[in-house]
Amino acid sequence: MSELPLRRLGRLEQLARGGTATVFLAPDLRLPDLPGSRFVYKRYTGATKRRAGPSLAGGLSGFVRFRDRLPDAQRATWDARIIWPLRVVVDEDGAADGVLMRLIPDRYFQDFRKRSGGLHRKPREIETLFGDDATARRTGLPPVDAGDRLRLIRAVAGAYAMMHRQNVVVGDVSGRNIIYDPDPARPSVLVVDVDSARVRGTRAVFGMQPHTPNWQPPEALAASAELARLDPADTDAHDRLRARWAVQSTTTDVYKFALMAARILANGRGAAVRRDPAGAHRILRERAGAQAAALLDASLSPAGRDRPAMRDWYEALHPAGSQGCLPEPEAPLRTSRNSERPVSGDWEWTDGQGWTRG
Amino acid sequence: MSDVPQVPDDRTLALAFYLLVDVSYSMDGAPLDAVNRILPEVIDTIEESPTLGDVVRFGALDFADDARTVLPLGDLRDVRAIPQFTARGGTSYAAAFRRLRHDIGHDLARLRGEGFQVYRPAVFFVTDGAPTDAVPEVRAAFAELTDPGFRGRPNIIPFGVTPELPGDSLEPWVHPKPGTGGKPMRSYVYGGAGDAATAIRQIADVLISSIVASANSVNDAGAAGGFVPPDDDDLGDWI
Repeated sequence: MSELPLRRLGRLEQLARGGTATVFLAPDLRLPDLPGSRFVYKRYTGATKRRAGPSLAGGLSGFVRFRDRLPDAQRATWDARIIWPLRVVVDEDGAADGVLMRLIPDRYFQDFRKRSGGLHRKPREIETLFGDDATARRTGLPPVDAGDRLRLIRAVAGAYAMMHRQNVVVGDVSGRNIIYDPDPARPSVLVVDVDSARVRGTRAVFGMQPHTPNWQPPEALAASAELARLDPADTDAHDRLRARWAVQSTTTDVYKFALMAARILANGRGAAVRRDPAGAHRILRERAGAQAAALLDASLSPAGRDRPAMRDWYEALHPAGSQGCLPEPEAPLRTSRNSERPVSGDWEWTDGQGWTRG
Repeated sequence: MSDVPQVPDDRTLALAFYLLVDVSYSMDGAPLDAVNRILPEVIDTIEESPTLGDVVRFGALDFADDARTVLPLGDLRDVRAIPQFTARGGTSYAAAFRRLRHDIGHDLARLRGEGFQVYRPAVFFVTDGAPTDAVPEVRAAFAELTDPGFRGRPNIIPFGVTPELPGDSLEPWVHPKPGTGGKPMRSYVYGGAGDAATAIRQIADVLISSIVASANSVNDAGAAGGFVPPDDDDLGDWI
């Protein structure tokens, strides 16, 4: 179930090429468990496969089996919010070559206006919300007001909270691995490029860099600073610091999420690399209440233990938990009559909504 | 104070790129038409990504008998009318290197004044022929540009856009060279079946890939890593 031979994919049309992989549309492929879906094949480069080493096939299968094991209703919610590997694609020798994923829906794509005329179509990455309004207008991005920015942030919090609840650490959170649809009728997000995610207790599949520049959590920055000062002969200390630098956990996810929220709310020149939360703090206090503003400060604490849980963010940005300034929540993408409803303390998980206080 | 660790300095690393173009008369026509499509493409890439916009600073110079600053190093989102490269005169590498030395010194001081951390800039140097000035003069200008005492001495990657150039003819103008400290760069001479314009279009692609990779790179200590040179795999037609 978790593997698919390359020859079964049929025709392949190249869509995009990046540093670690090439993505192809497989227009003729149909899968019985995902009727109506279209699929892409992400073929890793030779260098990426070499970096992953012999654990590649097992690691990718782990990703696929993880999703397969989710109860049906949760899997539907998962798929509505995350582009997750569905199958490991194997070559004629049975070696892992890449993964099969759902095609990103059209509404997450943007036609960017080029200076030379013409359009460039690509997924609308969340970082486009960090930029200044004039550049956004010039490139044809739709305007997104503060209320919809908060709803998109809440949607990200919901997706990450769902991943954390399933013991998945997101890992390399950056402005490029969330895409969004700002449609005011239903602002929504999709988590993409989950290659650096890992199920807690296991290693990440690839030995990829754990943090994108300008997104390093304080614990990684501290290790970086020590590494830069280290005597190169001290290999033990080097290994120890590298491990500290590479730390990825739900608390580093929360820190990076807070940076993302701050950059979305206080957008403009310089916002994509800014760590100062003052502007976002003010907007959050005004629009979502003091509790949400306090969450921002706590999430950016240098000490991981001081940071809240993702579900705290989801709750704080819920209209019922705010001062009534937020627009109505987005319509659930999917609901299920038979979903199991896990409970943690007085929190209850509702498919399509995430954690709500019971 | 509590036992909470303090966050070390994390100033934004600015990535400085220069495009240095030979506009001698032999580049007139299709080659310069292709060069004039580079800046719009780079600007599109920057404008689609606020992160690139916030960290990349880009400048352009041309050279013939003299050298000129075509686009001062800056934030490409501020560029309204995109300047054009037009042909004139001969091929003075010495003028090019001297102008570059002057501009880099001035530009990096300004960026540091704006609060950025700046590493050495990267120069994509596009030419279709050997210099017309005296060799000792070119060497002297290159030595001044790459002087170890000059903090802004750049990484220089020369691209020869005609197959008529001998494969190693641009090696003297690479910096750093292997064995001289720092990650060594290399030169490229087009050896494909296309013309100079085809070669220049490929330079645009690797320039943009290098900008994107540089913005995402980390160094051995895990900090923002700075310049990532072109990938040889993307330059299969080049010697």
